Amino acid sequence: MARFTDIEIDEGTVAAARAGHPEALGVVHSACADAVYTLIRRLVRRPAVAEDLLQETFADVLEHIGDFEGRAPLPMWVRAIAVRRSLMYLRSPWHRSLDWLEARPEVLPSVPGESGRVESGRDLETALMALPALTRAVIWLHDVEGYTHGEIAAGLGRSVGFSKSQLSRGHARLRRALGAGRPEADGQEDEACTPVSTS
Amino acid sequence: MHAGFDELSAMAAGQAQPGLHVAGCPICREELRRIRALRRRLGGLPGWHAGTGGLEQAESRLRERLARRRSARWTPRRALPLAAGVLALVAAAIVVAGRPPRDAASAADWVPDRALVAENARLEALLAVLPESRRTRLSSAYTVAALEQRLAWVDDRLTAVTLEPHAPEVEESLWKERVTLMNSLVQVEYARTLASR
Repeated sequence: MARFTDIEIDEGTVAAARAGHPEALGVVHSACADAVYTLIRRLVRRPAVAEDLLQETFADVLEHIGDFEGRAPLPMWVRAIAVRRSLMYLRSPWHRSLDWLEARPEVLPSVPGESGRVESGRDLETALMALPALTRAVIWLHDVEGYTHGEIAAGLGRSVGFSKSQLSRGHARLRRALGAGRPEADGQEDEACTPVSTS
Repeated sequence: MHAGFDELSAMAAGQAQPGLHVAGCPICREELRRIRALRRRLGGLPGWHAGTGGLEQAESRLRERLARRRSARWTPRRALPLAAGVLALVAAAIVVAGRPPRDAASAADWVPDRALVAENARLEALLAVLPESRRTRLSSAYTVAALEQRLAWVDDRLTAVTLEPHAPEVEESLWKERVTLMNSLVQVEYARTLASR
C-alpha cells in the first residue's frame, strides 16, 4: 500500500514546488497521488466522490503550496489537506442523510459478517468497507494514519468520546465479521476472544 | 481490573506504555496482541492507483475555483453574506487580540473547545432527525439556502485554515460561527417542519 511515511521528496524539489515550478509540482503529484487516493477511498466509499475529492485536494495543494513552511514533511502536509477535504465531505449536509440511514440498521441491507463469518480472502477489506462511514474513518485515521482521538474529533466536529466509542465499536464489528477462531499468519489469532471489562 | 479497550488501543498505537497490570495479565496481553494484529492487517491492505492526468485536472479545477471567486466577489447577492463573514472575522480577531499568545507547541496540539465541538455535534444530530418538509415558503427556503451556503463557506475555510498564520485562533472563530449557523439552521428547519404539518 502507498504510505505517506514512505514518500521521499528531496528538498530541492520541495523548494521548486513552493516556487510554483510545474515540473516539481508534477513530481510532488506523482509521489503523493496514490497515497492520497488510497486514503480518500478508505474514508469515502464511492469512487466518483473519491475522484472529486482527489482533485479538490491537489487544487488546494497547488493553491497553497507557496505557504508551506516545512514544519512537517511535504507528504504529511498533503495528507492533512486530503483528510480535511474528506472529513468535510463526511460532515456535509447531504452526507448527513447517509448517517441517518446508517444509524437505522432496519432500513439497510444486511452487512457481510454481521450475522456470520466472511469467507473470502478479502474478508478484512469487505468488512472494513461495510462499516458506517464515520466508524471506518475513525478506524483508518487512528489505526493506520496514526491520528490521535483529539485530531479525529476536531476534524469530524465531534467529541473525543465519540471518536473513542467509534473505534471500540468498529474493532468489535470487524472482529465479529472476521469471526473468532480464524487462523492468522502467526498462528495465535484463533483463540476465543475474551471480553475485557473496563477499569 | 482489566485494562479497557481505550487504554489498550492507546498502547497499541504507541500513545501509552503498558502498565504493570497489562504486563502481567494474560487476558490483557492477549487483547493487546489482538488489537495490534488487527492494526497490522489494516495497514497491510492494498492501495489504489490514482490514474493519470491528475495534475492537469487539479490545475483546471483550481482555475475554475479562482474564476468563481472572482465572479462572486462583486455580485450584489453575495455581498451581504460576505460582509457578515468579514464582520464575524473582525469580531473574532478583536476577541482573539485580547488573549495571551500561544506558543508554537501548544498551537500544534490545539483542538477546538470541547463544549464547542459537543454543541456542534448536538446540533448536527438534531438536524439529522428532523423530517424533511415537503411544503415551504419561498422566504424560508431562501434562508436555508443562505445558511447552507455560509456553512459551505465556513467548511471551505476550515479546510484551508491550517495553512494560515494564527490558524488555531482563526479555526476557533470558524467553529464558533459554524455552531451559530447550525443553530439558526436547526431553528429554521424546525419551524418549516411545524409549518408543513
